[in-house]
Amino acid sequence: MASTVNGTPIMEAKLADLLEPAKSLLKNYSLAQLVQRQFYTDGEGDAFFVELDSSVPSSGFEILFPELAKEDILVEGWRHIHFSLVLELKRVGLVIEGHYVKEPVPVDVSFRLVQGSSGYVEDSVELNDTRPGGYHERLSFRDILDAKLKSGDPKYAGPDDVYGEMDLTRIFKVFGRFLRDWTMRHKFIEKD
Amino acid sequence: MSRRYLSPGGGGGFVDNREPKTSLAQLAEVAAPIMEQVGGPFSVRLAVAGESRAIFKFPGVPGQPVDLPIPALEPEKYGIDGWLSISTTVEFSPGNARLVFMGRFNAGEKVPWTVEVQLAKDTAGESGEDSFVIRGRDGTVDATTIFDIMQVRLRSGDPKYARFSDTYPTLDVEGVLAIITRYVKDMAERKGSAQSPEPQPAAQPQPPAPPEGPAQ
Repeated sequence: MASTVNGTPIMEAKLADLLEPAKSLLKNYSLAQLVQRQFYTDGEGDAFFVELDSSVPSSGFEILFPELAKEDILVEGWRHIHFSLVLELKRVGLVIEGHYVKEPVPVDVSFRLVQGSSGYVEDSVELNDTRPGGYHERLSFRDILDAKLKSGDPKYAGPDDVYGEMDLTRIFKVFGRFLRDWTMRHKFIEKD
Repeated sequence: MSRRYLSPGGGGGFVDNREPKTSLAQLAEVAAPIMEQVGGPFSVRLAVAGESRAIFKFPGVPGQPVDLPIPALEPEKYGIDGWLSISTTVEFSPGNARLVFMGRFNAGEKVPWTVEVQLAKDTAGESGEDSFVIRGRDGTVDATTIFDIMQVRLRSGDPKYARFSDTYPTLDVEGVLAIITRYVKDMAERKGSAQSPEPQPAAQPQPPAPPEGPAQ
């Protein structure tokens, strides 16, 4: 398994850094797509899935996935989480899906960021408060990075965070910060 | 003769005709080191719902390349044979490979038949589990085993559903799927399109006779 890219742990690499290794891996095994998905839950049933778009190569296959510690990914609040890297010949996608709860707000979360050769080609974040009448919001990771405090400082991003230039760890951290704040802001359901 | 299709870079690639087939018993053996590196039993699901794909489920992330001679199934072929959907999973546990087949078959009735087969083999080719169940639209059930089906012969003495090369201890995934398909197709023809499957005794083994024709 390749858990580093040019000596850099994958979690410290940008999505753009994964484009070439992904391309070369897929070409080696004559695959058009390789989906790698780590599933963690706060109960039993953790699993790692590999999905090949065609038959299994006769020479076997390897994967390109970070070494993840469960406690780093399943941070406080996540009931279950899918962390996926979708490798294609010209694109690499980071997908996070799961269920997050910060009492009393339960949220279904979907995060999708796809890196193409000239930048992100897909960027979507969707949050759905699963309580009756709960709030539903669609936005982008760029929106999250652009959010500012009254002072003008970034609300969730760090001073060095630049859209398109962040490593996976930073993306996770910023998104986690946003998620915690989102549940706080939507604690109460407005009634008409 | 198998052909290898190389990738543009010259590496990897597929073999279009895997010969000899890897038996379930051999798969159980080959899977042992993989189980060791992923931390326990794992499974692979093949050719789900008409698309050619393979989905591995591991308890942990493999530390090394995964090399497992899983057969290349052709979903299109099964569609032609009358399958509406099939799901084939091979579950690996220490010393064992278990094939779980689930399919919906168009027997010409309003509601498709559901077919479930489980066949487990250990590394010696011994079976710990062998069941073959077909359910009709009104819940009627036909239950048998792969072993019994393999004993069924034509008047000529040729195997009716198995290939000449099939032996029970060395069955491979493609071979089992071929037997399942031949049996279900034959059953549908026998029952006719207007009738649903009725309960009937399991396929009865008949005395084997030496093969007369060329191996298929």
